[in-house]
Amino acid sequence: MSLQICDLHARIADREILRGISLEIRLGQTHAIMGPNGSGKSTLAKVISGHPDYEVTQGSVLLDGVPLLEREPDERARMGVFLAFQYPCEIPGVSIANFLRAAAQARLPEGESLSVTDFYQKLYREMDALGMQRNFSSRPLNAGFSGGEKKRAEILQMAMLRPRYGILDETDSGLDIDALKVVANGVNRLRGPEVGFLIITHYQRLLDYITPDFVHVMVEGRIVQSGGPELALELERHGYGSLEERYGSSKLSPLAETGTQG
Amino acid sequence: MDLPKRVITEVARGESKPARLPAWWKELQDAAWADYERLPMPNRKDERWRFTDLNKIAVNGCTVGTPISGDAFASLQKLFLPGKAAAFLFANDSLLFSRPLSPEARERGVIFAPLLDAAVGSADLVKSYLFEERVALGAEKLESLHRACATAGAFLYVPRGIELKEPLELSFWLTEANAATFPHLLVILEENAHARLHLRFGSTNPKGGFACSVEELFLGAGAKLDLFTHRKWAEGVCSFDLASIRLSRDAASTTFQLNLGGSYTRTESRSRLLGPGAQSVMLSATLARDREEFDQRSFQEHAAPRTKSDLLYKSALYGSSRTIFAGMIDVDPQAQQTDAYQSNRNLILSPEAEANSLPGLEILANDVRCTHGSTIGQVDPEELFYCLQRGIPLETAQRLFVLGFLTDVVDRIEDEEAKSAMVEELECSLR
Ligand SMILES: Nc1ncnc2c1ncn2[C@@H]1O[C@H](COP(=O)(O)OP(=O)(O)OP(=O)(O)O)[C@@H](O)[C@H]1O
Ligand SMILES: [Mg+2]
Repeated sequence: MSLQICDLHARIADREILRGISLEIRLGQTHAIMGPNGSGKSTLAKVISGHPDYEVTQGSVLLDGVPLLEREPDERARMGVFLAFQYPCEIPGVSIANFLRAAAQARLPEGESLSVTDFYQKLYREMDALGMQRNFSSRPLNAGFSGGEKKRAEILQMAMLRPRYGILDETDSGLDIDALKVVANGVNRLRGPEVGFLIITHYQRLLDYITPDFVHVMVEGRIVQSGGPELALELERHGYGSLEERYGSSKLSPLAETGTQG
Repeated sequence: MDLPKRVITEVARGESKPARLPAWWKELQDAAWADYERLPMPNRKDERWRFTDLNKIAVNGCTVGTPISGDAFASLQKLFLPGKAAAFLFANDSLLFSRPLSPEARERGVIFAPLLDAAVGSADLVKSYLFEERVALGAEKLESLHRACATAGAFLYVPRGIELKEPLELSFWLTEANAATFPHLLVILEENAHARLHLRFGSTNPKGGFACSVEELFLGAGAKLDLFTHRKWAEGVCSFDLASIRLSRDAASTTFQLNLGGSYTRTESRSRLLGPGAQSVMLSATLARDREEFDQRSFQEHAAPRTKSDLLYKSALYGSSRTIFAGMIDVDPQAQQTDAYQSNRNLILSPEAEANSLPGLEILANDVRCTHGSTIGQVDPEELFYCLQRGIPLETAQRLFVLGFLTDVVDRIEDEEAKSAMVEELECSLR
C-alpha cells in the first residue's frame, strides 16, 4: 500500500514545473521534501490533490494501486489524500464546525447521516489536543486567522478527517516555537502503520520534532538527491548552493535528457 | 402583455365582500380602478423597468376569492395551529384562521385586526391612513390595481409608549394556479411604540398565481418596527410587493426579506426618513434559481438632519435566474449629517445566471456620509478547490458558500429568534 508517484511531469501556463518526479510513500512512512523556493514543491502537492490550474503532461500517481489523476479533487480527498496548504485560503461565512461537518458527512455512505454529538465530541477532543479554544470552531474558516492559527486549523482538519496520505506544505512556516511543537505533536499522534506523510519544509527545525524516514531534495522540478534524516542536517549546514550548481539548469543536469523541455 | 381587466374588475366589485366594504372604501376602489386603467403598462423606455423581462409580467386569468380545496385548507391548518403568536392567515384573500392578541395587549389599546373589521371598528384611523402612501418606484399601475382590489390584510395599531413584546404573524397564501391575492398591511405605531411583525407569503399549489401586496408603515417619534418578510411563492407566480415606511423623529425600522421561488418577483421599498434622527435598516437575502427573476428597487429618502439608512441586498443566483437591483439614496438639502449606505452583492453560481445592479445617489446636502457599492462575483476558484480538497463535493461546497454569503445578511438581524428562524429556512431551502 502506497502513494506512488511515477515520472510525473506537470505544467502551468505553458511552463513546465515538474519535470519527472518519482517517489513512493508507503503507509507508515514519513518523507520530507526540501528544496529552494520555486523548485516545484507546492506544485507537486497540488498536482497530487488535483488542482485544476496544472496540466499533467506525463507520468502517473497511484493511490494503493488506484490511478488518481483522472479523479476529481473531492474524490481524491475521500480516497485519503489530504493537503495541508502552504497558504490556506479564507472561507468567509463558513464556520470550521460546519465545514468539517460537511467534509465528514461526505465520507459517509449514501443515506447515512452524521451523528452530531459524536462529531462535536471528536472535534472538541482534537481542538483540546491542539490547544485551540473551543469557540474557535464557530469562527469562519481561516477568516482573519493569524498565520499560526491557520496552520493549526489545517492540522485540526487533518486530525478530524484522518487521511491515508497526508501532505503538509510548509505547515511549520509562520509558527512560533511553542506552536511548532503543538503542531508537530499533532502530526506525530496521527503517525502509524496506516498513514503515510509527505512533509514539505525549508527547515530542519520541524524535522527535529517529526523525524522523517526519508529526505528528498527537489531542484527545478526534479528530485536530485534522496537520503535519510542526515541529509536534512547536511542541507542546513551547506545550503542548496552546490546542488543548484549541479542541477539548477535543466541543460546542465545529467537527468536533462529524460525531462520534457517546456 | 395584458392585465386581464375583466377578471380583476369582477373581483374588485365581486360578490363575496361588497356588503362589508364601507362606502368610502368603495369610492377609493373606483378611483383606483380609473387610475389603473389610465396608467401605462410598464415598458422598456421607462428607466425604472430597465433590465426587467417584461414578458414575465403576466396575471392572465387570475382571480381573487378562488375557492380553497379541502387539501389546501388542511395543510394550512396544520401549519397555522402550532403557532403561538397573534396571527392571521389568509388564502386567496379569504381569512381562514386567526389567533387573537393577548388580553394584556388588548387592554393596553393595541389593535391587531383584519383590515375589513378595522375599517368598521376603527373607521376614523383606518380611513385617514389607508392607501395614503405611494411607493411609486415604477409599479404605479400595479399599485393602483392593488388599491382597486385589496380587501385582505391586517391593521396594526400600537398606542404611544407601548412596547409589544410578542411578535405578530401575518400570512398570505395562494392555493390555485388561477388565484390572485392583494395583501395589505397597515401599521401605525404611535410615539415610542414598538412592534415586531412576521410576514409570510407562500403557495400550497405547485405552480402559478398572482400576488400584489402593499405595506404602509407609519412610525411615530421614537417608534421601533421590525418587519421580517419570508416570501416563497410557487413556480410561475408573478408577484409585486410595494412597501413604504414613514419614520418620524428618532424612529427606527428594520426590514428583512428572504426571497425564494416565484417566476417574477418585484419588490419596491421606500424608506422615508422624515424626522431628525430617524433610522432605517433595509435587508434582503435572495436565493434565485432556475428561471426565476427578482427585480428589486429601493429608495432611501433622507428628508431630515441626522438620519441614517443602511441597505444591504444580497442575492445568490443558480441556473438561468436573473436579479435586478436598482437603488437610490436621496438626500434633501436640509438633511445634513445624513449617514447612508447602500450595498448590493451578487454571487453567481451558474454561467447562465445574470445579475444587474444599478446603485444610485442623489445628494443635495454637503455634510453627509454616503457610500454605495455593488459587486457581482463568482465563487473564488481557490476557495472552491480548498473545499474539494477536503472531500466536499462541488454541490455541497456551493451550498456552503451560498449559505455563508447570505447568512451575512441574516446576521444583521438583532432579534435572535427571528435570526435563527431565517437561517433554518435558508438551510432548508438549500438542502
Ligand atoms: N499560476 C502560475 N503561473 C506561472 N507560474 C507559476 C504559477 N504558479 C506557480 N508558478 C511557478 O512555478 C514554480 C514552482 O512554484 P511552487 O509554488 O511549486 O514552488 P515551491 O517549491 O513550493 O516554492 P516555495 O518554497 O517558495 O514555496 C515557481 O517558479 C512559480 O513561480
Ligand atoms: Mg511552496
